[in-house]
Amino acid sequence: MLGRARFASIRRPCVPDVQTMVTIINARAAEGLILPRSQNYVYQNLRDFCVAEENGKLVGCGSLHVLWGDLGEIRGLATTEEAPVGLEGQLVQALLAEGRRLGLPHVFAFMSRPQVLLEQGFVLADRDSLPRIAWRECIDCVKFPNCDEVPVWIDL
Amino acid sequence: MTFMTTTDRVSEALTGVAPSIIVRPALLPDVQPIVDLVNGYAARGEMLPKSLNKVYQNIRDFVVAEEAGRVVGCGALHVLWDDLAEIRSLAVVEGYQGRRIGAQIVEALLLDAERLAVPQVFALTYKPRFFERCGFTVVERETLPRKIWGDCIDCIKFPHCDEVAVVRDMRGQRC
Repeated sequence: MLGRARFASIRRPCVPDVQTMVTIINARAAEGLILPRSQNYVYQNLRDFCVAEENGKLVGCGSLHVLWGDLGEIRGLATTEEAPVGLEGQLVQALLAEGRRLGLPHVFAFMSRPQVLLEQGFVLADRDSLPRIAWRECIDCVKFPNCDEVPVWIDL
Repeated sequence: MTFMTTTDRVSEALTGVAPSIIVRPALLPDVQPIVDLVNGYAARGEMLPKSLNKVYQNIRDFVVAEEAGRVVGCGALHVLWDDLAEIRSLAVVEGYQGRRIGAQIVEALLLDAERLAVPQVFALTYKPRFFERCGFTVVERETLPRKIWGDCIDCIKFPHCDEVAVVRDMRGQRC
């Protein structure tokens, strides 16, 4: 595929996409890169997500979860092995556009590999400077309290 | 963005709904007015209360009806599983009722269900006649999938629910 540009189209998911989304997320989670998500989580937060499709096949997904009027979190950002290079960045930009549409001023994420988000304009954040609400779901995390993820932040 | 159809506009003209009212997806500044509206009715036992947290976290479920920058109605469509979504928090400001605003909100939510490819939409309501006019059918609560009770057990009324279950099948239907 060298020298040949490939583009995935990004769209909002519908319920028949959910099982594939869960498979994509949990394959990445099995590598320890992101947190696993249940089908129930993805159904109930389906509107948070966008998906990337190439040749009729889902090759990635990501979500922007609103936590409060001023804060959103990128979650479940994952692509398949076959995804075009740069797809994660493309998904992040779609999610940030969604944040702007909603009127969200700040977005953060906890990342094992923050590089993708840093390339999209995020900056490293001080763990203790995040609003308390960012920690709400952390206590249910399998990694709590030994979090090894890096917090990143962007102002919209 | 408005979900209104030409038919709506015609029926509005016939029934006297103000054409200045639009139904659109909710944005973050709408959250406080939505909570005020829902909890006003909840205080009288006519709806379930909603926290700011719940509405923020499910903001994309909501549409609002707006007139001159004011939220005069709201409603939400929450996806529960691949075959089921629920209409929640449907409310119209007092003084604006009887103008088909609620029906327009339901129609917008059903369009959303269609886009999401959800085959069935249900609601638990004190106003089953309203939902029947929107194409829903009254059913026994017990016939609803067990999945819905996951949220019910957190309800302040559980297990003494006095709401009526209504269902609309979306398969093969256009709104």
